[in-house]
Amino acid sequence: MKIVAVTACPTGIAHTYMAAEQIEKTAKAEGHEIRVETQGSMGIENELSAKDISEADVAIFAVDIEVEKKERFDGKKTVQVSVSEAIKNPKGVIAKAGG
Amino acid sequence: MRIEHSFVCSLDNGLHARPASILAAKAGEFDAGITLTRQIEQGPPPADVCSVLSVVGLDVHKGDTCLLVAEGDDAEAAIGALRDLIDNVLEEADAAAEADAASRLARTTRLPIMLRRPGVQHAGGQAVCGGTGMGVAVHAGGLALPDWAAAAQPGELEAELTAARSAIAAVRADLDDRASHAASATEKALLAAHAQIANDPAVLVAIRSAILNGATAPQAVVAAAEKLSATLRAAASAYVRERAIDVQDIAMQLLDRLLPDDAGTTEIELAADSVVFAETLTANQLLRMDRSYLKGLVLGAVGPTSHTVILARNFGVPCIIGVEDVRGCARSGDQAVVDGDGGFVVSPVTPGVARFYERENGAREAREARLLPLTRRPAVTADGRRLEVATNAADAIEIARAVSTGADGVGLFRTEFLYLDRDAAPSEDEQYGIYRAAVEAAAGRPVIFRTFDIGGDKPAPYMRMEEEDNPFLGCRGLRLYRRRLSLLFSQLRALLRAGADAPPGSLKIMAPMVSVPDEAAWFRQQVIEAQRSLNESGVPAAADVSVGMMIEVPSVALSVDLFCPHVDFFSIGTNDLCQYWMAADRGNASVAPLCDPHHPSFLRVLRTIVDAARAHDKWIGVCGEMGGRPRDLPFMIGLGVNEISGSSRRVAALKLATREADAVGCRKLLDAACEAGSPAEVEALLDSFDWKATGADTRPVVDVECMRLGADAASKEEAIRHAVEVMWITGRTEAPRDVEEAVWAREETYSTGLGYGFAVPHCKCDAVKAPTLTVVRLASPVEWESMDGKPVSTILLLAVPAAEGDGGGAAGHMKVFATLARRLMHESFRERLESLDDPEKIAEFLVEELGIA
Repeated sequence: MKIVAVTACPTGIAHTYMAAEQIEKTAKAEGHEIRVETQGSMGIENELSAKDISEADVAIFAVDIEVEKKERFDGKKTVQVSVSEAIKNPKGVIAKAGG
Repeated sequence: MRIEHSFVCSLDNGLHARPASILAAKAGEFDAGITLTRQIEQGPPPADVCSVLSVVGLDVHKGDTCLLVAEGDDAEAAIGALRDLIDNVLEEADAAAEADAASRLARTTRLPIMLRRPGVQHAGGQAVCGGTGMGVAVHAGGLALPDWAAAAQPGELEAELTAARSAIAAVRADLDDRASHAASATEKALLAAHAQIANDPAVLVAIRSAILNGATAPQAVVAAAEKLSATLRAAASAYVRERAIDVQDIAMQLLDRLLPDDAGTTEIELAADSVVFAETLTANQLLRMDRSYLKGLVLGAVGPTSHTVILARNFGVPCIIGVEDVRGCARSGDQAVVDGDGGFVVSPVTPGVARFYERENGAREAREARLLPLTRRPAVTADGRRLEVATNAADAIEIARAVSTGADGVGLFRTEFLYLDRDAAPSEDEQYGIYRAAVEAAAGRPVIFRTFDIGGDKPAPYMRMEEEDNPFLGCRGLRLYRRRLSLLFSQLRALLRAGADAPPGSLKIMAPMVSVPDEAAWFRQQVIEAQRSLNESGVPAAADVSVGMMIEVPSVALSVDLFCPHVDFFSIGTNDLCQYWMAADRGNASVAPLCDPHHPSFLRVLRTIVDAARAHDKWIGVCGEMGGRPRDLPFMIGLGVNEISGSSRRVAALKLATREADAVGCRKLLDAACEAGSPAEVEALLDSFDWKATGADTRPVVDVECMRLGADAASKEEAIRHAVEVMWITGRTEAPRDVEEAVWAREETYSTGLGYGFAVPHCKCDAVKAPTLTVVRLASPVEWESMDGKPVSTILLLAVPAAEGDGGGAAGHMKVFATLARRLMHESFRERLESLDDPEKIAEFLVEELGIA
């Protein structure tokens, strides 16, 4: 499965990156292809391209705040979870996304 | 003739002391007997309108119907006059009361997280002098007779009555006299209100009845005060309840008259480390306390600019003011802690509270020890501008303390306290002893002595000054010297003798309240005369003395050049200069907001003054409040003054902040502020302007200094506190409580316990000076509501300054934290980090893993 994900937390110092790492690590271990964009205090990093998004089967939003540039995902199947859920239970989050 | 008038009370605060005293004053002008009845069922009996206490005791609220009855020949005129007051004047008096109440509510109380627990009893106030102090609660100013007086047997009935009557008359006369000399409208109103209480028929009646029941006059005063204040305390309105204090105040003054001088009713004796609680406290009472035992002050109706508070700041005694129900916030003999940073007092001291302050004090000491070598060096901005940081002082103890924390000298030694609250002027020898001690405590550093600054606001009784309508524009400071030449002469002689052995030029004498060049020339001439008289009689005296003047009068501000030939130095008194410049008394609540030193107009005049002094190569300092306030430091550096002087407690912080400043940037900030349109714009500039030297903080994010292994903490609160204290000790924040608040604000969204025994509390706030990773490993784990429910033993505190994260070098720091967050998700990283038990090794490991160059 091809997955794209966005992580974002209010301060953007720690949890954004923890969630990104957990999802990426777990998805890869399960044999999925994944790209994760972080929206932290350094702004958007590893920004997903239109191609990344269109090729993906699903988008995971692990966020506690509004996703920036959300319109990129219009019409895409999305799954939204909290940042802490992504950190705590990344396997469950990927399962929810259909993986 | 009997005339009645019924009305409904329309005053928001009810018929409290102020409106009541206005009615009483008017009622006293008529022969008719006038009573007031509150018309409710089973209401209190009618009150004599001439007695403020009786009227206040009615406890009339807004909306209550009242009946005014006058009986006598001029009853009609009396009712007419009172009606007029009720309809037209009382509202104003009520509004004034509200303004008072509002100013009391202007609190700054901030209880630290650790103390926001059930069972911690605290009372808030306005923080006016920082630091914390713990000691036994001592209530001052209470009404207690010395044992012998309490046990005394009454003399002849008539003798006791006469003693009481003459004491009342004396107190009344004294209050009237003081009211007529009062410098501010507020003070005048207060004294007049007190005089009225002393005049109140209810007071005499209560005292007389106690004497008739077999009390001595002093015992009767105490009994009457208790009875009357009990009535007032029972009132529903907080404002009326507060008047009980006024009654106690009057009673104390009566006792002062009735008992011998040394009976000690107003003297406060301390026998152990103490926190003194008092509704009001005079500067003199404070001076007479044993300061080695005085650890804190909790005050009620004392203004932030009162002499008591000025002294408390100078002595570095943690102090809060504006506390409601001072008496009720601690029991005598219980332990109490005053927190002069947070603006509150805690009593009794629970083990948790004691532990909190022990830890904080430990951290403070560690921090000071670490910073001492830096603060003892001269303060130089990052771009090389030297700034002397001095202390204001009123005695040698304070100078010694300031010098030990790095003060470069004394920018203002106030001498008027020597002259106040005493019956005769201090002798030359007495003064010599005090000045000599000050010079010795300064150990060769310059000391600026200001000759006595006495005038309408600080009258000295033996100087019998003429009554002035406007003492602040009257015969004060230097203007008084020509009339009191012998006083000036003896002070100058004492000063010159005290400086006899001091290094050349370190004895500096300045005159207050100079307005024209002739006065400055005259003052220098007096110093020369005093020198000559000492030389002629062969008494050792300082030969090389600097003579200067305060700049506090606007006329000087625009003609500094004309004064330059007559003085060696200037010192700007920003408080008075601002009041005179804005023509606004800062003690008067309705105009005080005008008296804002951040008004662009005032900043412009400061700039004009300093530019002129520098153009003439004259040394210039600032000894007003602005000189000691960290927020104003960029303005002081921008002005280019040679010296700033403030409270001794601030010396170290100001010196450290100076080192980080960029003088050119500070000047730009000042120039921008001078062009601003309002004080609010100036504040905004202060908040946003970058006046610090770029790259001044080059400290690494990961530093072995910020690693603590085996730390002792009993809870999540203590663990976070501990980590924040590490930042404080290492100088990565000056405001640990702000950092702590920010960390907890983040913590409240959801726990930062990420599981596996790790927690990553973090924050982004102004109070953080440099991006910092603090590592704390606890000796035993604490509960953290972690994601896996397990307790936490490794804490990684990530702190970022608010301005970070906008690209540039900042991104590098954020990257480090992002990488750390990602690495923490890997078991191998966590295990390795846990296995290391040496701070050096942990720092090394982190630097490598996080890719820090």
